[in-house]
Amino acid sequence: MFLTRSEYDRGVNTFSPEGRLFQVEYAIEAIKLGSTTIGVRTPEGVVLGVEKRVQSPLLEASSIEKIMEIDHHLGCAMSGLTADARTMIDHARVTAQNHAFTYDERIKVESVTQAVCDLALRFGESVHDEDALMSRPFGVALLIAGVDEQGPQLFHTDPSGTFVRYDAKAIGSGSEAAQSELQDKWHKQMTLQEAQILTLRVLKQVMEEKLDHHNVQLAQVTPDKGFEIINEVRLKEIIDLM
Amino acid sequence: MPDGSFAHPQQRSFNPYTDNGGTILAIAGADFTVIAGDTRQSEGYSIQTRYAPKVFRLTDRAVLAVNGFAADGNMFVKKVKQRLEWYRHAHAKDMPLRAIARLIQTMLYAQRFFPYYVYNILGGIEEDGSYEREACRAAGAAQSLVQPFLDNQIYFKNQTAAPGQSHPSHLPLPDVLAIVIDSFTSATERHIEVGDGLEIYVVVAKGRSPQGLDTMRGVQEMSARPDGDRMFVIRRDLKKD
Amino acid sequence: MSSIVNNIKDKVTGKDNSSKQNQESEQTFTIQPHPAQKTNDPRDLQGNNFAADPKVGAFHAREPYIPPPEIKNNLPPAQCTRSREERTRALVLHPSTVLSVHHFPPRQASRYLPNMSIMEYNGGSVIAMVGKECVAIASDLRLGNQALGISSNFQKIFPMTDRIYLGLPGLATDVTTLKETFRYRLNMYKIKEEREIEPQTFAHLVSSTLYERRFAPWFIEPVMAGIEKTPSGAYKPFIAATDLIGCINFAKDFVVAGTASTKLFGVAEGLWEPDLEPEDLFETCAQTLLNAVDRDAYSGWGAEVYLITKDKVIKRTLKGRMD
Repeated sequence: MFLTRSEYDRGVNTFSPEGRLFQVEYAIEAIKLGSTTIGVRTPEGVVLGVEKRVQSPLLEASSIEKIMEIDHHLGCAMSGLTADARTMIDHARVTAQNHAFTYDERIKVESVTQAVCDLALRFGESVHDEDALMSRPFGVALLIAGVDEQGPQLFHTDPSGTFVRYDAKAIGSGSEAAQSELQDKWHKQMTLQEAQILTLRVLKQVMEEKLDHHNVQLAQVTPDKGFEIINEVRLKEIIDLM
Repeated sequence: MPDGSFAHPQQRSFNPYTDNGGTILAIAGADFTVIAGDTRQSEGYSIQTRYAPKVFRLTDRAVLAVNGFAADGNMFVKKVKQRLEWYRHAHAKDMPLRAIARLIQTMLYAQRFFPYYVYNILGGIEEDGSYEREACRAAGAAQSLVQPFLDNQIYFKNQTAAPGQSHPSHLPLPDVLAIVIDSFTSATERHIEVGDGLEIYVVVAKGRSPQGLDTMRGVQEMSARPDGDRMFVIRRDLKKD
Repeated sequence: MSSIVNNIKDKVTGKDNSSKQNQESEQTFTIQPHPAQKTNDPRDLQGNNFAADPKVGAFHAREPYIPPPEIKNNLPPAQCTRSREERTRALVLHPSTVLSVHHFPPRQASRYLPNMSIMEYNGGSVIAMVGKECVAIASDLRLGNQALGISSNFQKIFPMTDRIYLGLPGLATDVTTLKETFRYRLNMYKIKEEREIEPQTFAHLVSSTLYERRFAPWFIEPVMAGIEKTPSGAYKPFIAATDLIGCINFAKDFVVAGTASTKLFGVAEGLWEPDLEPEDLFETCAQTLLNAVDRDAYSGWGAEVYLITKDKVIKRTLKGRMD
């Protein structure tokens, strides 16, 4: 087993005899090293929450950016090699803007997710004069939250370019424990506030440090206000409600 | 002077465009839209064909009329339809009317320096129930004949309502159809490029009455589903001289 | 001479048998002597006598000027476009004789003439319509200088007789001149014929007046409306229009002219119907004009309608858009 791996995990575009692409699998493994990130969908909107690992007291916590806006109605949280997410989010933003420019309407959450995933497998050797491709798979997973004509939605993407829709999803180092907790606590008729509290509670359970308004970040996408990152004052209030 | 020598500067020119005449027209009602066009295609004083459609069904609820240079018009409709199909594949839904309008705008502007020589009128029902950017519009060879007539008959321009009364903001379908047919017979009478045949598309909003259209003679229903927006086409003869 | 005229007159008036009697009693005239006491005999006007007479010398009659050969033979040849090109070509073949050759761009009318149409220089439109024992003729009141509005009270419709009205859309200076021309010609007609002109005849007068200037036309497309009296005594509505060189269009429904003519055609074709009563005709005509000129930048700025019936003419000034 180990031997076969070492032979087939060098070329990023080479399948192993068992039909596996090891580099992609390793990339998925890389995400499990990332900080925990959670997304919860409710009928009122989608909540995104991330843990910010503040490794040093000298580190400026507010400079850690793990939740980003894609468009007015689309947000995104990440886990893994967050630098890789920049390429993907850039692509998502361009796709969303192009769609709005061409069609005078907001792009669907699924469409923008699909566009991001189209990028995921564009690694390996480039063919003749094609645009230079990426040398390796992305090492990041995204939770894409948004609201469109089909209501609030949450999508998960991984380095293999697969995307799946979830009601609630956790990724990153604490994802296993977090996911089973979400499975336990999530219900259909959740309010947005319940979702915010659930997100924080689950994060709290899987975090090593004590949760406070410096080491977590919350964001939400609602039909009325679109994407917004919840400010520290409001975050503190929600933490107090827990 | 064109003596075959190269002693003088010489100029050659090629004109890639021609005008194939005809007229198109669209009027919006409260819960329906009418999009019409004549079917004559001409070049100069010659009639190329007496039946060349200028009005095309795009989706269950969108109709596009194109007028100007027929070759460009047909190619443009073909490309719009192709984009509509791609959109369906990418987004798993029919393109909304508003999106089609914007798409047409961007497609036309993309050809800013070698334009499609085409005037477009898009008609249909918008997804949220609202239906119009404009209540009426004519384009093409007889635009200048038809538009002031429409101003008078649709917008009631220069007409003062009786004291205590007001003009209707939208006319019922039978009135609109009568105005459309009158407009085309008038244009046919006075414009040589208009005539032969008339094709009137009617899109009726979901759940609204087709106001007798379904039982009218010579009407063909093209609705995709009987429970959605309904689409009809009426074909009439116009004078052929 | 006078007898031929009399014969014709007699035929027309049907006084055949009394013609001889008339002829005898008719006044006769002799040619009066020349006030300068000169004979009118052409022979007396020939030869040196005439030119030598010091009184006639005042006219300073001269022989044509014939230049002396040294001037005549050394004139440069006339320079047309072609010869200039030939000279240019010759110069190019001998570069030592010329430092540079300037190539003129191909001659385009638009380079030398401002891009304008004289028919649209001042703007304005007229329409006339037939009703039941009535006619209407209407015009806008704008006078412009291309896009610039000059006056909102420029009349284009003028009464020719009590029952004939003439609209003159086109170049404003010609509107004024033609109006005066027709006033003059109608006065002459009235004096000679001792009766008012009939609409049909008037149309032909308009036509021939314009055709006189076939190759330097008046820039006017007249529209006329009137009521004719048939031999049976009934009244019949009459309208006609001509192009700027006088080709008449005797339409049975409506005629239009001016910068908004295409729009007028479109609306009139949609609104007009046969046998309209006077007030309905007025409304149809007014609506047609107003809605047509509202879509024409060169027409508008007020309008007036003349409604002509067998016993009266009503003039109404319309309130419309003033933009």
